[in-house]
Amino acid sequence: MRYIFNFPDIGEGLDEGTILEWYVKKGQSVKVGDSLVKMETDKVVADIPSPRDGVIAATFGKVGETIHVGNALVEIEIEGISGEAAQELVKETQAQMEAVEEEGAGVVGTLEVAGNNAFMPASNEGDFIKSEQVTSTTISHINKKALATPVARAMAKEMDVDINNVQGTGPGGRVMKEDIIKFKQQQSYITPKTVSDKKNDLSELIEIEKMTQIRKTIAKNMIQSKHNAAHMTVFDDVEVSELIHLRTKFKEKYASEGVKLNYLPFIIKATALALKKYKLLNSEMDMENGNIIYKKYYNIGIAVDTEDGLLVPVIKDVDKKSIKQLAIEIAEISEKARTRSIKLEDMKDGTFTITSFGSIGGKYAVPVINYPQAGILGIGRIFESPIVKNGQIVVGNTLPLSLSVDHRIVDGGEVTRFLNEIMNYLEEPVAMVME
Amino acid sequence: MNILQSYNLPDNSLFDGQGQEILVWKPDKTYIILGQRDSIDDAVEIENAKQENAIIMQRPSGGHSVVLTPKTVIVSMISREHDLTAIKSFFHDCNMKIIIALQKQNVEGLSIQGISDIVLNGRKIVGSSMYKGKDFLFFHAVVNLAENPNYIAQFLKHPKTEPEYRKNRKHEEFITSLNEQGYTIDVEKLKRDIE
Repeated sequence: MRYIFNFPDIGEGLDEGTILEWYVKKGQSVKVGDSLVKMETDKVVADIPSPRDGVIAATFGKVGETIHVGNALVEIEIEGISGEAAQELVKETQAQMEAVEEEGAGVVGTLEVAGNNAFMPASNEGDFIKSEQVTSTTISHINKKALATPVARAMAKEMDVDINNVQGTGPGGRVMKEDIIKFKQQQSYITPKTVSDKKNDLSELIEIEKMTQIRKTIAKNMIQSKHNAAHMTVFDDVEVSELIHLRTKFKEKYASEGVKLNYLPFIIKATALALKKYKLLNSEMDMENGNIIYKKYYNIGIAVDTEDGLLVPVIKDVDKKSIKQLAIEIAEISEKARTRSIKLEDMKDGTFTITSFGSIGGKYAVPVINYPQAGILGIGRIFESPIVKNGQIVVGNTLPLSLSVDHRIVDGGEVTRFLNEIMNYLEEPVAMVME
Repeated sequence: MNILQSYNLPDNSLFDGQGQEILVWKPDKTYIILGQRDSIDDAVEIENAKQENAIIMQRPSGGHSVVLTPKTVIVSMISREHDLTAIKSFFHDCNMKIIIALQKQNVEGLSIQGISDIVLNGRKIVGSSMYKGKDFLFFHAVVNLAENPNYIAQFLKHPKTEPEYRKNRKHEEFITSLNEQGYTIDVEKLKRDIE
């Protein structure tokens, strides 16, 4: 049978790595633990060992290519396994927790389980380390980290057991899953019922699912933004009949050239022009050194709703690009985001973000700033509404806007002027090309 | 001589041993050590390297290029006992050993930023990287005791990727030395405290 081995999280918490060197090629026999490929993440070079004996049926990716965690790395033909045994192996693989054979945990379990269960806790990046925190206890903790199989580690986490307190009976003193079970049983004689015990009673009422790396990153970024920025949001409506007219006029022409024209390129362009005028909105605050950093480049992030969660690819140097160029780039980068073929470089260096939820149906929102940027513009759904034009009530087309800013950086007056500038461009889009 | 040489610095010897070992050592001359992802063209100001007779090598671990000089000290650790999936915690444990040793010499205000940098007053004083082999984790870090950041900066181009806290700062603005920050480090004591 064929066994597909996916690139595991090597424990650094990053979601991609670059292939530095292949140690194997198609047709080559491998044993459990043989190095398959040398991968590099930001700071780590890692030899990735084979999880199975077999023959390499395919390798995925060339040297220099980036592979995302969870994507296929190699396909291994496992000799001598067929029928029921193969089915069993497939089941094992699907239930990754159970796929780990503790006997071979030194290599097999290490990587397979690491993919979903061995993410490290959020880093303590930037934490100030005080002398008094560094006690002999800390040192002793460093030296007493338990050796354990991945299954045991995951089980300990699930059962709320501190694995460092468990005496291991496996090879080299490794903590095995039986050790965890025994430890838990002993504990239950002396420990009153806890919340985690009750959780087991509720297993039919709730479902627990491991968070994806994307979800963890979103959570971390959102909390970072809410903790560090002073959020303020203003709302306004802009009449966009002229914009609709302009888009309709060019839509078919663009389509004949394979370019889908929606409203986003116009909004991005209008925002970039306004950012050039109101430079605080294109800055970030450097509290550490007491500076405001103004950016003289205009890279707009676009929040893209994907099946895996929110991604924010960045369109670079927006001010230098035409509406058509922007339309092409938006389509390309959004597709990359949705298919998860996007690279980290495509999501870096944004100076301002636009989130467009109108296509789904919302009008207004309070967008969370993509920290450390100064602002984020939310675009709602265009709707028909009565407006006064030349003293007459007529049907207008209204685009709702929601602008969140970091009030530490920019005040209400400037924010309103910035939003007015965007609205002016959208109300009279020809002004964009007259700049 | 500025061609890329194979890595043969003292911590190479750790690969031959067993168990957990630590080596604290000082370079005898100026070396430019490329990370696995870097090439000389991408990372090194080659004319300056030639002028200073700096030796260029490529280490087995990740990360970008660094400069080692006799005014820096290198802390290298290898573990065959640590949980091989716990790379972050190994980075943390190794860095904590360095931080504890520096704090014993009254260095205050240290923090860990980026993936594994040790930072003082917003500037980097220790950079590190790791190599995860089949059955071991290998860590090495360069601690800038007293090297002038301008001397280091002349050899290195701006890296293609950087931690968020660097904020596009030039090498000479981003890195600092303990000496520049007002600390004189007793290397023998540092070595004893770490090893």
